[in-house]
Amino acid sequence: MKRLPVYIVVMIVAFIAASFLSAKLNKEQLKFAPEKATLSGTPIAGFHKFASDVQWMRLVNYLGSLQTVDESNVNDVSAKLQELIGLDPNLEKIYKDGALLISIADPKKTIEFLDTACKNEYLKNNWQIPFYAGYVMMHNAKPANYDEAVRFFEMAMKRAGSDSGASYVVSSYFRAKAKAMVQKNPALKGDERVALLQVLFDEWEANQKSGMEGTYGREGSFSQNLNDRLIKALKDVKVASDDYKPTAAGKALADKVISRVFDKAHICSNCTSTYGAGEKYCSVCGHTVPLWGLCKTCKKPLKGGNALYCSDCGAKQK
Amino acid sequence: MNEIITIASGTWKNVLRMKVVYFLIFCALVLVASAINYDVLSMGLHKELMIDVALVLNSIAALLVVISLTFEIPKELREGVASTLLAKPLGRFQYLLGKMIGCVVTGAVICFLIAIGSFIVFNISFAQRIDVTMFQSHLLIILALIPMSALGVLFAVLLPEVIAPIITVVVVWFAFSTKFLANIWGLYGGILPDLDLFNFKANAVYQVNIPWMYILLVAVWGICYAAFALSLASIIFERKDIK
Repeated sequence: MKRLPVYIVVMIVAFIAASFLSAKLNKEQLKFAPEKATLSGTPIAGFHKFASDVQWMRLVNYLGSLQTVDESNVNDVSAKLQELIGLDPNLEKIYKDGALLISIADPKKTIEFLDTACKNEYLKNNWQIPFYAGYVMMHNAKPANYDEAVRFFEMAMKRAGSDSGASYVVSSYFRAKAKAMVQKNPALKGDERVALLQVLFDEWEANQKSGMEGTYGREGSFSQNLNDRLIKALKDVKVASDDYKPTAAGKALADKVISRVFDKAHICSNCTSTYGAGEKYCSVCGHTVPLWGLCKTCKKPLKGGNALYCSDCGAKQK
Repeated sequence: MNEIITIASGTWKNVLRMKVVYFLIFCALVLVASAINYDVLSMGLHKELMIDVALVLNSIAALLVVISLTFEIPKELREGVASTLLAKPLGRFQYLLGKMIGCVVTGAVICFLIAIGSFIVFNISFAQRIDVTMFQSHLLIILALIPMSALGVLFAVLLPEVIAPIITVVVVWFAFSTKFLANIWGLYGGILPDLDLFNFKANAVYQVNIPWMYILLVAVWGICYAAFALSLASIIFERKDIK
């Protein structure tokens, strides 16, 4: 028993050291495993990941037994997904495959799940999840919240960087912005085409002010096809179709865009088709177009409209 | 020191010379390999499943080794083997420490074999290199053997032969689960073991690196906790009347 005091001292010292270290390590581990803070409290001996694997396979099996996910079973599917998120919040498939299954029957819950995933540290570089969230917000949510959809699409664009596969994210972003504009501005009378042109023009102006990068901090590649988008939007606004008649406001905006953006691009103000050097009329719509690219001396069209010498008289142009 | 090594080597030799141990390791590896068949059912998550199954089986193997210790100490006390050993110039603390070290070494060898086997299976199945996080996660399971073995020794000394393994399993189970107690300073990680500090199975699957400094500190925590549990076990053992 003479060793008893030694044991007691060792015990106390070890207890204090272990308690101190444990408190420190518990904080430390959240730096590289932040999901631990949100894991389900179910006492499963740290087998959360394995339990999530099993639950995932059970969910796949369960979904195989359903014809469709509708009001009758959406709560069951949601509960299973919620349980999975509790077990393994990093599992991408829960959001990309699972949550989208309930997007029609319960868009609110879908967005809730996807929003959780957007905030997940491990999934911070995934652009598809915010894109899906924006898509569901725009197309399935009732009522649609376009401002929130824009927020999600913007997040997706920032995450996608220069990923060429994410070009449709940009389209969705502009469309959501246009829809939000129509919702807020009654003067547009629901004309989404004009709103889209306005959104694209605003983006172009913002790009001009801030240099090559867009105002939203995304890569230049997103802005590269802005002109193509503008031309398409101009056509949509100017050219009549079975379900659309151009409005005066739309035409005025289109003219403004052409004069500001395409002043050197030689675009027909009527149909937005491009025309070549020396052409007096648009070859698509027959509208009169301003002449350009003529030789200073002989007034004949220059090659490409900007050749250094006239191919007809040989006169130097500059 | 020699006495401790003798006791420890007796413990690990007892377990490691049993052929059934290697048969069980083989069975574990067959289970790991079987994960490859779950590609359709898991919708392409079979690779992650294989990593996870290997870690889960390794954790179970570690627990089984600790349980074997909780059987062994009361058995030696009952059969009088311990009293023979303690009649020699060997302290009771040394006896317990030797048993704990023997258990840690046994568990480390078995877990190491499962880890290496699962790495080979993984490499053959997916033709992919073994990520460092997979190794780190297996290493943490091996390190968890230190506090787990100390707990096993404590319960083996404190409780009867039938109850000791059950209580050990229950305590280890909850020590991995009761994360919400972590905020109470001294209780969790001090008195109750915080074995969740060793649990990074998800990191292995998602290949999120674990800092080596963390692994070192967690090993230090394991040793501190083992010292605490072993001192407590020694106080109880010193007062115990051994036939």
